[in-house]
Amino acid sequence: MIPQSFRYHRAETVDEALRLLRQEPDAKILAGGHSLLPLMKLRLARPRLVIDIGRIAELSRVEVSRDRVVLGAMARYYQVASHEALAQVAPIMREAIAVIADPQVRHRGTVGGSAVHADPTADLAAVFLATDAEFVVRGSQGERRIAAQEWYVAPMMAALGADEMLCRIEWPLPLPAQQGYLKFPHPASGYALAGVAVLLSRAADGRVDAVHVAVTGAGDLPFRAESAEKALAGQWLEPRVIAAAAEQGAADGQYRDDGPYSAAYRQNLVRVMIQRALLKVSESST
Amino acid sequence: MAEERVAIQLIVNGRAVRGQVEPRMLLAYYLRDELGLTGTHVGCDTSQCGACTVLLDGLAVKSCTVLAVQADGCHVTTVEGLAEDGQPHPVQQAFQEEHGLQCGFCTPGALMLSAWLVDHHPQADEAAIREALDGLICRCTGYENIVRAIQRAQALRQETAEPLAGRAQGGVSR
Amino acid sequence: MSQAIFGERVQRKEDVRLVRGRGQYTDDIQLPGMLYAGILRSPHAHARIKRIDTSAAEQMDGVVKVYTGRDLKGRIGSIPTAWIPPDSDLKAVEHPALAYDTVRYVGDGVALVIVTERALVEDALEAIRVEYEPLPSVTDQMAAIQAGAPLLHEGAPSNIALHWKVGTDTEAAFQGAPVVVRQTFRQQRLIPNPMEPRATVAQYDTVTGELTVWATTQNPHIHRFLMANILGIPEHKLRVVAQDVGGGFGSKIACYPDEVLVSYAARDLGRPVKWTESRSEHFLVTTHGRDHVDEVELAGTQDGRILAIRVRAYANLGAYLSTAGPGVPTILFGLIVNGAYDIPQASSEVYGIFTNTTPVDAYRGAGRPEATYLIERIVDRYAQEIGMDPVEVRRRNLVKKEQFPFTNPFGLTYDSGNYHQALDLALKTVDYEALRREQEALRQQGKYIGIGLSTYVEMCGLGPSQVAGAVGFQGGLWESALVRIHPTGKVTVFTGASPHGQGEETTFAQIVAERLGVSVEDIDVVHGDTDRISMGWGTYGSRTTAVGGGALALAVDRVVAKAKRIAAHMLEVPEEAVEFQSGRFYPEGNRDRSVSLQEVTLQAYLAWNLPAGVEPGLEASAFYDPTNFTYPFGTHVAVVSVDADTGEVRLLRYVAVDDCGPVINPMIVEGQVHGGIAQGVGQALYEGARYDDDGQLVTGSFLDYAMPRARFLPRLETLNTVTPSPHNPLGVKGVGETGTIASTPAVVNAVIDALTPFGITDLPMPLTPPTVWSAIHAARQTGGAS
Repeated sequence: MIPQSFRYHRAETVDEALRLLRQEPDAKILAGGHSLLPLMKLRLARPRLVIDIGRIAELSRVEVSRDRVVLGAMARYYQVASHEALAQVAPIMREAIAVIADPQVRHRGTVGGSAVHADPTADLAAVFLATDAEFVVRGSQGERRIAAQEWYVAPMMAALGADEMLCRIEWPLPLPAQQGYLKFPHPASGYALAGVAVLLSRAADGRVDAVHVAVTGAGDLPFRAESAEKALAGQWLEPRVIAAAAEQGAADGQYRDDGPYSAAYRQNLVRVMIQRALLKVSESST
Repeated sequence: MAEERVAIQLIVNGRAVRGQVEPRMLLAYYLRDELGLTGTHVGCDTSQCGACTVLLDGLAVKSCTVLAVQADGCHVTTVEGLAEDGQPHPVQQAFQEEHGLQCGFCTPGALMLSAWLVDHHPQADEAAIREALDGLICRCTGYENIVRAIQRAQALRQETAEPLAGRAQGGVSR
Repeated sequence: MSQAIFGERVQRKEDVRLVRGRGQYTDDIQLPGMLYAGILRSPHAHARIKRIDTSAAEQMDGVVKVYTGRDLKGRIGSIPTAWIPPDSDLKAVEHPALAYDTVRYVGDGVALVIVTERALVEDALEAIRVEYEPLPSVTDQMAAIQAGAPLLHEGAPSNIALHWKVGTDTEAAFQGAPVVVRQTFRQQRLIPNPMEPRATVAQYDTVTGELTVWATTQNPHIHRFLMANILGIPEHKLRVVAQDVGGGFGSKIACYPDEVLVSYAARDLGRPVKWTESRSEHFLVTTHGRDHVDEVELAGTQDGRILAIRVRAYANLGAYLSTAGPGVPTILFGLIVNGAYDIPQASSEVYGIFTNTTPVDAYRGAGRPEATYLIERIVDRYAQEIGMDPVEVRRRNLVKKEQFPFTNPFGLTYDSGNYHQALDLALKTVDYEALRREQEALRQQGKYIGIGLSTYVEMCGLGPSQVAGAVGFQGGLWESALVRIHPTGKVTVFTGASPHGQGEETTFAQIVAERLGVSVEDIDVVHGDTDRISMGWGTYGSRTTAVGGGALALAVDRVVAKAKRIAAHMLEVPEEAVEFQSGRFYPEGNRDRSVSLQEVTLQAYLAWNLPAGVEPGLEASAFYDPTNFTYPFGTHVAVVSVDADTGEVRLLRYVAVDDCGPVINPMIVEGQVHGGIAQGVGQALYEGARYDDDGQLVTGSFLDYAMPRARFLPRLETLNTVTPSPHNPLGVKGVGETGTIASTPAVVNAVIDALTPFGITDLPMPLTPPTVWSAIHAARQTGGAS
């Protein structure tokens, strides 16, 4: 399967990419290509112009400072996963990326590509939600920041204007120190049937100080399991508490029947995976 | 739509190659149809089976999901270029010794993925090998002998020389 | 020096090219001036074609030609089936290469485009406008036989394509039986998915009138035979070549419309044409497998003695009859539903049914997995019913060693076996008793593991041609071999079998090396070319080594016999007094004088001094027709865990004990078993084609259709027992399908065993997490294991 013909332009700068994007309404930004090219091969996407941002150096940076993580939109999965300073402050990224697709995809796919594609089963969606990531986009009006909670508008649709481009993903530091991502993959696609990201910190007495729980894969959209977070706040993480929180957190999602995976099955799976993720993270070292 | 062609230049199996390609030309078909390197196979159209895997700047990638224009300026290694100085790469030897192939169709991709794994993650244990093989669908072997072959190649690699695919550092978390 | 080559782990000769990327698969072929073909496929499951507008496509740059079904009607014959089971009332409906009036499944071809570049194929296809009048459709075979169901073929009065019955009268046995177990099993539709999609390259020589067709086929001579008829090309002007073929698993047996169309276009246009299936296309149009609904009844005693088995099968054949389609659910299934057991009475009744789905044909095992699944599952159900360990029930009913040759209730003669020995070895290897104790202990902790067995037998090594004729297969099933020793002593072997991953370039060389005393490196095995091999029937049904190898052994013996006459002349001793060992001829009892095979060969070609009546040259051919099928058997044991909260099944351990007679190359045999197990596990746990209500295939890519992955499988433990077959020169039995046949019921039995505390006795395959979880969830609601 071969895409429909298109014009190709390799942009040298973000501004050049944005200019082309404004000139050609039927243009697509090409980052790692692992979301866009499969769609184009199946002719589900037919851009007239493809703007390759793969060589724009500023988009590939990964920076960890004292109070901030900055991931360039073009940072490839394997580069992010092998970044040692990032692994110190946000080990969840390495853990989540390790279960994205396969090595070949991780060598090409980019964090920005995943974000813009906004697949509701993407692993990083849960991570971005749990870390309260901010998406920094640039358009003709300059830059604006979009919170993760606002980013996933609809399945396969991010809160990104037609003439805008995602430049980087950021989040403030420190994050709650205990982190984990747990995934139940679809047996065929490898996408998450349910993926749960948990960030947790506890007070000196062991009670929950902060907890973020986000879910991808199972629902119509990735979501923060706020009811679970509320149920856990200020609690000791006893099995009974975790079980109840998982039950409530799972109920936060909107599920629908899809082939053999019924809504009831999906909700149950989310419950089980939240429970297991919380147990796993609570037992991990800080 | 007017057929635009783009000039590209890359190093394939150590040799400089220049070409004019349509932007939609996939690297897999560029290798097969333009360069005659038919060892790289196309087994699916949804970027999953991994039969088309090649090394792009030393990293295993699916050449069906890379445009030839994206590979401009890069090093590409295909199964035809896997042997060095006439010596088979350890994975080639090991796949033969351990019967890691049957029909041979996914084999070029299996070899390129395995070569990357063996060269970059020489200590990968069986579980890690099986996870890396998420990037490959083989219908013949039940993967049993592919796993054995990769383990054998790890041993051979230890006995012998420097990694081949050392031009760039690839990484997964293990 | 005696060379032990037969039985050795000789590295594969084919791998030398394959690990270097030097295989020659059909899509690798590039010819000067080659054009590319694409086929426009129906998006409707059932529709009337009202109008096709090809004008826009025809005006595109690079489009050479567009054909529609109406253009080709009368120019290309109907695609025939090659299997007409007797007394089955088979409806041999028309199957046009391109639909000209009605499309009958999503994927049915409606137009053919020929373009100058690969990339233009889809552009051209998209430019064709087809106006359809959608018709009601039906994809499920049980729905298709209901009154008022949409009819697929105007010529047939209903959607019943065939109705076939066989066996003994089981009524009396069921009447008086203390225990009767009834179960309906659905054996889901599978998609073969060899990793190489199908492809065809055709080239017509306008001077000689010869058409050469490179094709992804398991049986080039059958293709030549059928295509000569379909296209009206004299058989001697048609050459079919299958060089490297990237797996088939049955799906490359059939003669498809696609290769016929490409061949037609190459001849019509006088230019080479290539067509390569995309994977998406493969899902839609390459034949599918299985798709049975089987109503099974077993009669038995309270103490574990099976009295009778009765099967009524509803087999979905798809929209048209594929090449071997009608034979798979009848002959290859119905005759062996008693499995490895001595069951006095047995009967099978089969309905083959047309539906608006992709045609169904052989898929690894072809009929025998379906038979094995139902008998192995119902035996477990029976064991549960009478409260007996499934091992013990099997032990009491397996055919005993001393009963061979054993005639089953359908008249098949099982050649040889020692079923209890295989069972014992498997149980000892897994330590069955310890596993049962562990299972009990884990259950106390709310954890569920299960142990499943499959004590299978299968019929393969197809087969005696007389039987082929009797069961309606429209061909022979003998095999040919030609052994040519060249003047320098190197050897070329030509076989009519057509291996495509099974490694016979190596095992056949081993057979010859052993018998001639020539090294494996000096022997080349040629296959898959109708110009180089006079005739043969191809590779399927685990026949290549048993039948093709048998032919080869005979041909080698003939070569040796001739060489012996020449050697006797050279040694000046009587022919009877010559011994041949490890490549040298000796006078009987005298090791001081000898001539080598190489010296004899040279003399055979120089012909300066041959014995009277001996012609020059040294080669021989054999056409070997076996006297029986072969019946490999064994015991497989699967151990699984079930996660009761998610429904996920993990395969913890897998032990396979197989008996395929003497093993030529253990490495290759193990490989065959490994791959077979993975495919059988695929059916048990992961794979399943599904159509929606409109007849759209919803599992149309690797994103939706779950293929077994490395992560899903544990180490596979393979062992052998050795019971030779008395019915072929090598004593070998097929092993290409045993793993697939045995493993599906072993795994399902294990899962159901794990779920015993929940009162679950059966689940439909594939046993996916939602299927298993839903059953557990329902059981828990009603108070099952907590």
